[in-house]
Amino acid sequence: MRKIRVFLADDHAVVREGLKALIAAQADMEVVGEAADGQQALLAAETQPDVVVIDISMPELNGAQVTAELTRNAGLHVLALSVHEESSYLRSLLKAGATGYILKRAAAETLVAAIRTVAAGGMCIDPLLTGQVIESFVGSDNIEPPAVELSEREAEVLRLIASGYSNKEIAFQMNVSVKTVESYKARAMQKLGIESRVEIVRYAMNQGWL
Amino acid sequence: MDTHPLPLGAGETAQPFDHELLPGILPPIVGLGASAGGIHALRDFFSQDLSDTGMAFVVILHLSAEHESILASVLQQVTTMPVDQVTAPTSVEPNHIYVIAPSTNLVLEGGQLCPTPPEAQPGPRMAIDRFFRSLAQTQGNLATVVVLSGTGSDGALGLARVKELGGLAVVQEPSEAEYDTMPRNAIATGLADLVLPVARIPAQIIDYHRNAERIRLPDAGPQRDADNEALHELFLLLRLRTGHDFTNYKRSTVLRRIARRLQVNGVLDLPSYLLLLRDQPEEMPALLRDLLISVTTFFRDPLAFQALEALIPNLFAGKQPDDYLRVWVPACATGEEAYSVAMLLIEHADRLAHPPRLQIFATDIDDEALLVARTGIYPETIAADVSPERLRRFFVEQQGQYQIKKEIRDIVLFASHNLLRDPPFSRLDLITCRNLLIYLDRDMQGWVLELFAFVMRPTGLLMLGSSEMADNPPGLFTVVDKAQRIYGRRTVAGATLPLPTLPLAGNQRRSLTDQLPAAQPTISFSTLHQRLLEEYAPPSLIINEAHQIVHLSARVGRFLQIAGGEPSYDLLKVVHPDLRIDLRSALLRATQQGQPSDSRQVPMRMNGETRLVNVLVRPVQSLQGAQGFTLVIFDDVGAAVDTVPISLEERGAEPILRQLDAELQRLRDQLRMTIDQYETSTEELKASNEELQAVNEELRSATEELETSKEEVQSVNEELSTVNQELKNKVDELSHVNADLQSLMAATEIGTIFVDHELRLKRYTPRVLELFNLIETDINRPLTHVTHRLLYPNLIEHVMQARDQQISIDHEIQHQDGRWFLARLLPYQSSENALGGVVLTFVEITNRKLAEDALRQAYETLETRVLERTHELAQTNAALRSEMGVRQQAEDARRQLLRQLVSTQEQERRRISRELHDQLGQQMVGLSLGLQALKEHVRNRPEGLKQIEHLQVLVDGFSQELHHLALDLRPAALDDMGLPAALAGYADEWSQRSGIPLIMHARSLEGIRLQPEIETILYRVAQEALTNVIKHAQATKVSLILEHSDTLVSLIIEDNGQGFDVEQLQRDNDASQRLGLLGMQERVLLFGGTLTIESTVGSGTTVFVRVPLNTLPSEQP
Repeated sequence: MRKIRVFLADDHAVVREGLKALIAAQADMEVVGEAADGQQALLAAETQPDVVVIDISMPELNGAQVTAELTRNAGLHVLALSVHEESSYLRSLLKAGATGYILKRAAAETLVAAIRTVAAGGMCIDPLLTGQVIESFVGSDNIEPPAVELSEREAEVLRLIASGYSNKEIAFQMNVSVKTVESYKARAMQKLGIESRVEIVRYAMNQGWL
Repeated sequence: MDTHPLPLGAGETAQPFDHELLPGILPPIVGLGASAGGIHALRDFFSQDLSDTGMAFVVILHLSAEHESILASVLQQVTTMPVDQVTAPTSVEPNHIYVIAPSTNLVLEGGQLCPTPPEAQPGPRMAIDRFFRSLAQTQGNLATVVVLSGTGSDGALGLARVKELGGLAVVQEPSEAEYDTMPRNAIATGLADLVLPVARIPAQIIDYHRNAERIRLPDAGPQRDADNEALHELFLLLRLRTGHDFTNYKRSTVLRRIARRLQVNGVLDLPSYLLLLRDQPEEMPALLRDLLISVTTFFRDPLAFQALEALIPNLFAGKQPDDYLRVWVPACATGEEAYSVAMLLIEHADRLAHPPRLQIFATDIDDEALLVARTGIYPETIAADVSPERLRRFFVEQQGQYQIKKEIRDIVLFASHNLLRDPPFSRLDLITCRNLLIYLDRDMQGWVLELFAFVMRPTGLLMLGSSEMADNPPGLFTVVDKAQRIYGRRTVAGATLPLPTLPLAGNQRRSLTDQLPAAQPTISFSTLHQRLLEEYAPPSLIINEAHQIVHLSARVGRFLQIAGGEPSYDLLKVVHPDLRIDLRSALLRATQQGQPSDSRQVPMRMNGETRLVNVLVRPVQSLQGAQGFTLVIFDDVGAAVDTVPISLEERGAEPILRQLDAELQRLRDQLRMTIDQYETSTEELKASNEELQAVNEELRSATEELETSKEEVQSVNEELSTVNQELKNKVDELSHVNADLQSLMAATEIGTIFVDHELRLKRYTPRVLELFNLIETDINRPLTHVTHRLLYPNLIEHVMQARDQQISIDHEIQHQDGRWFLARLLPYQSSENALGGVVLTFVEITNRKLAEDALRQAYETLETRVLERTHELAQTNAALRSEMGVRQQAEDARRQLLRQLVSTQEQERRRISRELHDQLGQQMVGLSLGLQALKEHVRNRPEGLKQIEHLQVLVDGFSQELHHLALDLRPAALDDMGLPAALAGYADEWSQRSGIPLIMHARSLEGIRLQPEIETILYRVAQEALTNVIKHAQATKVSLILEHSDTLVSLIIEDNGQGFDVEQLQRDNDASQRLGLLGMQERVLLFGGTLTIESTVGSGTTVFVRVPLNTLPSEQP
């Protein structure tokens, strides 16, 4: 049985050693090459790896750049290792062509399975991050414009709130008291069934107010 | 009247002089008459070049009697000719100007200009008329007069006289004249030759006189040449167009009149004039006007009128109240002559208890003149001819004119009538026909005189012009007053009165060729025999069947008598009345029987004795072709004697019986005749009745005319009353205003002085007495003589300045006692003349002056204080400004420091964060991986495996801790991925940590990097705010909004927690509670941004952060 060829790129020797040890312990995997920085990682193709495991925070070229290079030119599968849990990092790596994204701190448990998935051509994202991905994917169009009649005043208040004005500023602009603005706002939000300012902004965008 | 040389004129004969020589030695004289506004016109006149005309100019101007005249010097300025004022008799030199002296009249007398004393009585000025008349008299057709600007009517009568004697009359164009009444009155005479602007008059006068030398006219004698042809044609044309025939007018006169027209029109011979006459329709009336000169005056030739006045009682003699005294004034022109006669008659009638009725027929052929005459309005200058008593008695004065009173107007009947053509008036007591005969040739004169004799009563008088004689044909008139040409009708027995034919009547007008003397017819012996028979046989006449006379023998006239009314050929009407009855019965008998019939020894009164006449009627029977004619013979058989009583005594009874028988027979015949006569009378009465009806018609129309006149007069009267009332109101108003003005002046506290143009005091108010030493008698004294108590040395100078420059002058003047006055000098202009004066007013302004001074002092004090205070303030200001500068510097330094601090802090955080991640973190990863690898090795040892798994948990927790620590210190994403990504990461982490759902909205910020410091501060604010939410809000929902425009980035964090009272929080001194946000506020301010917190208890808190952008968005690194 052919072993999965893994190329490791991490600037921290400690991590590389740890990864090597972990992969070596697997019967179906072998480490075919290592790189300590981005420049070296570009040479990964020469070892014909099935999976390139790459730390996204490396000196010289960073992980995203290397990933883009490797996936586009060499057609390699890249599995990103990251300490960053922000989805923006995940997104930039996915854009660059990585097919796997694993948080370093969970690497000990998830890495081996992830290598197998990626090597097989699948995608694997750290379970700690999948929630965010799904939420952003689902939440983008979860607002149905409710068919509600707002009064002219209520609509005006919402529009100004969505434009970023404070209640006080709106009161001044509409020449009414702050209390009145608050009550318009509360009534409008109740009618629309929304509870937050962000929802107001999204509603306003839907209405074409902004 | 004026063959050349001139005959004596009427009216001016009072000072006769030898004028025959004068035109030769005198230069042509131009008389100029002017009054108000005349000096200007005269200057214009003499500005033209007149220096070498050979003419002399005499200027008559109405001058003020009180003043020296500067006229001569004024004129001398514009002309090179010598200008002399005439103060003593002066000879007239050519190219000279003579001007009248004040208070004199000027006349041309004996070839000299003579100043004479002016009119004694006040009245209209007539200096111009006087001179013009004397000029006309002396120079005739060489005289030229010019009427210029002026008021009144002086000049008009003189101009007429000049025109009458063939001179040239020129009038200034009224629209140009400053005062136009004098020119207008002159034009109204209808006699002005030229009406021109002053500037063009001199040239016209020169042309006129030059033309005079060149004009060629036919001689007086009848010669057949082109000129005569033209004259003939001209007469024809005149007769055709105007109906007036001048063929019988005196040739020389007519020619001279035509010559004037030639001069005026500037043509040189008759044929040319004839062409002009045909071309220019307006020339014909002008020529006619010149030919029919209508000139006359009241009481023209006073001596003649005195003579006439003395004879007037004779005219009234024997008149009953019902009788008419009839007067005929042929050629009455504008009526003066007729009215003059009327005045004389009325004056005499007034002295009588039962005066007869007066009737004056005034006739002329000039309809325009008649129109003037009927109106009876004459210029005021007639006062020269009419005595004041008569003016009062017979005229009404109105608007500078005299109008004949109705009383006189009523007895004068004006009619258009041509003496030479129309039937004459009859049974006249007086005929005044003055200066008509002179226009007629000798034949015509004779004819007219015959006519006059024919229509006059035996007691009638004929008055002729001063150069006319009634001796052609001789024997018609007796001389009553030879000098004044007054004649009576000769009533000689046997004298035959002519039955005048009307030579110009109807179609029988004689043409010019008829004028040529007819050849003497040859006389046959039979005719001679006939003539002689007529001479020596008793007077006889032949009548036709209608009793119309067809032929008269000589001397038959004494048996005829022409009655009044239309002349008749009817024998029965014209036969002597004493013969009429017998003649009628004889004619009747002869006609009825066709046999001769006689009336014997008919008594006839003639010239105071009774003659016996045999009237023989012989119808013509034998002569073939003469049937129907009857010969009537009047045989005067001698004076009547009382034959009947004598014969009775001589013849006894027998013959008495026969005598009685014969008498009876005669009476019977007579009765029959009487019956016939009665019938005839009835017919005659019928005819008379018809005549009377015609007269009645005439009277009625006259009455209507009078009624119209009466109404006109009434309306004029009403108008006058209105005007009078208006004037009265005006006067009332004026005196009212005057009184108001007086009391106003007295009431005002304003001292006022009026001075006139010479600075003489005219009026002052009582208040002025405080200032000027004035007493009542100072009025009219010059202001310079009055002393005043003002400190105003320039007073007089300023008054003169105000007067001369027409400006008002104000001055504040101090009184000697210290009071102040505002002196105001105002020029004024009186309405009627250009010379005004000055009004001086003095208003006391002492109080104002004092107040002003106080005010000025207060103002100055205030000004000083303000200046001081301003200075102080400026100093303080400068101090403050420098302190502010210092503080600003300190503040800037502090900010700089703070920014540096923040930046340093962040750098440090970043360093530590990286250290944690990159070193510690990686080692933890290595450890974790090592442990995992170790697990493989100890798979068979459960305690070891358990131990490793425990270690793994520890490492995991530690690792997580490390991550949070690093994240809190400074997220790497903030540097690597930008604010929105960093915030999103933080928000996720925060939400997980706190368990509070957080919705984030970051619009329009994808891929945009802000200034790192700003990203940091916003991140920190969000961090702080969210920390606060966890600590205080107890919220269940949080919104985070990050928005961005070109100029501004805003961050809003909203929770739905319990909220708080913002103000209370800010008042709270517990700094620790709000230190976090306060610190943030400080840091936002460093970038010019704002941070506001809005919170209501119970409904959450919202934090707004806005930071202005001053850098362009940059690409993600």
